[in-house]
Amino acid sequence: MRLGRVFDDRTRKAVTSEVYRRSRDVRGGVFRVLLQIALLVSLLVLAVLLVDTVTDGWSVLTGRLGDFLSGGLRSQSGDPELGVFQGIRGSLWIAVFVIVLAFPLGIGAAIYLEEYAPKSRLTSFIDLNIRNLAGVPSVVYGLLGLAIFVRGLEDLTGGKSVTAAGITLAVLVLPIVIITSSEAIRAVPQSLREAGYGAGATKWEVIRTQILPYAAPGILTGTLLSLSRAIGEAAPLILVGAVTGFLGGQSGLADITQLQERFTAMPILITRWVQQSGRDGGFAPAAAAAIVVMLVVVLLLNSAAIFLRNHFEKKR
Amino acid sequence: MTDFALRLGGRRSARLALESLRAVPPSALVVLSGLGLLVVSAFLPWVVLQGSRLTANAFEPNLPWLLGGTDLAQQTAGSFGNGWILVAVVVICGIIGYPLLAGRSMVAMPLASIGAVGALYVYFTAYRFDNQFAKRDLLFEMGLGWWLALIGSLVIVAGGVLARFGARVRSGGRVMVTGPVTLEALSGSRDRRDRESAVRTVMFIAALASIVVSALIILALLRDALTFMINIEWASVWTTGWFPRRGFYDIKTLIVSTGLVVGVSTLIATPVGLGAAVYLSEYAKPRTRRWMKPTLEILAGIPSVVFGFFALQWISPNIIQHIDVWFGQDARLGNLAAAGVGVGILSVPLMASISEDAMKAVPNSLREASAGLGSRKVSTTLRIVLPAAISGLVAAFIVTTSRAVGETMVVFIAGGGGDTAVYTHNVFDGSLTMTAAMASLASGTDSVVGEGLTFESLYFVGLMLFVLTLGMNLIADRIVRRFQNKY
Repeated sequence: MRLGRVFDDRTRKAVTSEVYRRSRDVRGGVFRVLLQIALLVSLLVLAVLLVDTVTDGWSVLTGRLGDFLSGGLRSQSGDPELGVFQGIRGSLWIAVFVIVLAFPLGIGAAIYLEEYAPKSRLTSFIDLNIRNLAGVPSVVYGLLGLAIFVRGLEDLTGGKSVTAAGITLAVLVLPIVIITSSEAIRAVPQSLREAGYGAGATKWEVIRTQILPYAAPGILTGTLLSLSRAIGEAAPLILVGAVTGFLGGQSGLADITQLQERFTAMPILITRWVQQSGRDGGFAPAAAAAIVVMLVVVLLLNSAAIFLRNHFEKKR
Repeated sequence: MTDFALRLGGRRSARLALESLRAVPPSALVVLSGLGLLVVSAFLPWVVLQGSRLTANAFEPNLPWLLGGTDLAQQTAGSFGNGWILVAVVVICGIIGYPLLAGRSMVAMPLASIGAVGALYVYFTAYRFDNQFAKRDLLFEMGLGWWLALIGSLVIVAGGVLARFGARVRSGGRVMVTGPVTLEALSGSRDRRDRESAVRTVMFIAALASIVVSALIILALLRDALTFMINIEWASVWTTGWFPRRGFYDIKTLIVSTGLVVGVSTLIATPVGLGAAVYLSEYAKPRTRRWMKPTLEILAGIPSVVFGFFALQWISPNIIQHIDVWFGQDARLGNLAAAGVGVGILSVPLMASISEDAMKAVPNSLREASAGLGSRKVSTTLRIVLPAAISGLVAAFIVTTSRAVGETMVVFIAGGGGDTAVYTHNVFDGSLTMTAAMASLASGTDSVVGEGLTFESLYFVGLMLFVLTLGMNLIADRIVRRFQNKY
């Protein structure tokens, strides 16, 4: 045991304790705590936001939920007919336009870009263009809607109507639909395509029978997210001319005749009431209650999308 | 001949009928059924009108809420209140007809869409007529509509069925190479090739739609912005405030307040978003990640109006109006600082998700090499992972900033600007950012009115905003592209 002679007990002890010492990594600990604080702050904000909104709107939500859901825009917060019905109707029709226009167009474009497009300048231009469109501020889409759909195509849309608003928002979410659908289609394994071609299927047959079914959950996730985005978006609607004051002539939820008439939507209604709350304090609870109504829908859509994605990601 | 014919029992008449189908080109069948759909959808309104007249009294008392309140049921009972019946009919027709048609050919899809649009259009005009004239005087009597709709729907169903079976018959008898292999035999069925090119064209048009949208945006912005720039007296663009309806368009007011809001939002979004991203990417256990990430995504999904409400009703009174005294200020309820904090919170998930992606893209071998050399987790994170991901993080920062510049509703609600704003560089004052100025110009009155160029000023500000955000996004995009090629 020559080593035993070279290192005496004291050295051995020092080395052992150094090796087995619980590390006192102060810097690391502080860093970690800071990171956790950052994450907790964002979660805390979410909690405060939700709790604050629900408590603000509690009196309306529990006291007169039925009237609130069926009532309309009013100038006084004490009006017993104050409610969100017109907003729900407008948002519903906007959602219909998004589903009818943006979804087929977006999914079609994604199929072209992922499956058909040759590697050309045009393709990369379309690609870049879509990514840029996704970053254009939503107000600018409002300007587009105002210039083209409200003024340019007035005969078709009826001017400042829910039709113009619906088309504008469909255009707004189009890039999101394309990008998410493209990602879903890209994730389809190449072997599936090759198997299809090997069995003698044409390109479209492979897309229809193999790729689209496989990518369906991913595409659905993207469409749900873009739908919830369209429902919550307010800025373009302000420019397209959503009604913020009094809106007369209430018709049914699914009445098509109001498609060319003036309209309002949930986020617009909320904006209006928040602004009015400075003058008439009773609008604050109404705004909070309207937010709760909208958030229920938006968060349901979002959680459905997140759940779908996580569920299918795990499966594959 | 075909399995289908065999399943029919091989009866002679069935075989003959199917055989004769081979002569009819499938595209003709599809066009026929598409036309049928067009006719049906065009005349459906009259059918429904009739139906709703009959059933109005029966349905409305039961569904007062759906129809807009009991008192409104009275108003709508006489007129066209039961639009939901139409919707139901269209949906049912779609459920039945669409798979029949769309599954067959890409020709039918556009035709069906045209049919739907046409139906809506006719519906409107019919309604307008209905209001102005007596229904009976119109060319389209109820009876005519009924018959046309009936015939049309028969054509649809027949066309769909024929197209379906016809295609089956043809594909059944198709690939029989007897004799020498010719080029014709190898090139496959003509229908299939036609369909392939039709599909490709339709998809290509869908992809082109995005370019059309961009072109329209630029066109719309340029046209009115140019009018503004040509006709404006440039002195009025550099004054003391933004009073668009009085002809004072002080651009620096808008730009400075935009800068203030974006500055405050960056102060919040960057540390919090980056911290959350580093934690999720480097520290969090998989189980923590599994519920943390969805929670952040929920935060990302909350509409910006809600943050506007939150900023005005909670952040401003509970935070800003307490800390303003530190700076010797007295903030009103609506102020740029509150709006900035709101925008910052809204940007956190975006910042976090892009930076997390950037850090996830750093290969694990770098982390392992660093750990192997004995460095601690914190050193690995700060000295290896963050520098390796720096380009992605910069891109995340730029994208977040660009998003903050373009954010409208929070600033519009909580920024404390009215229709006008006086120049300020105090973050505790209320003012208008570029986006908020546009929103307030467009809201309030029925249309944008005022002195001369008020309407065009909207587009001028919009163009500035567009160019600014586009530039930032392009830079971020370039950085990301370079960074993707790195590993």
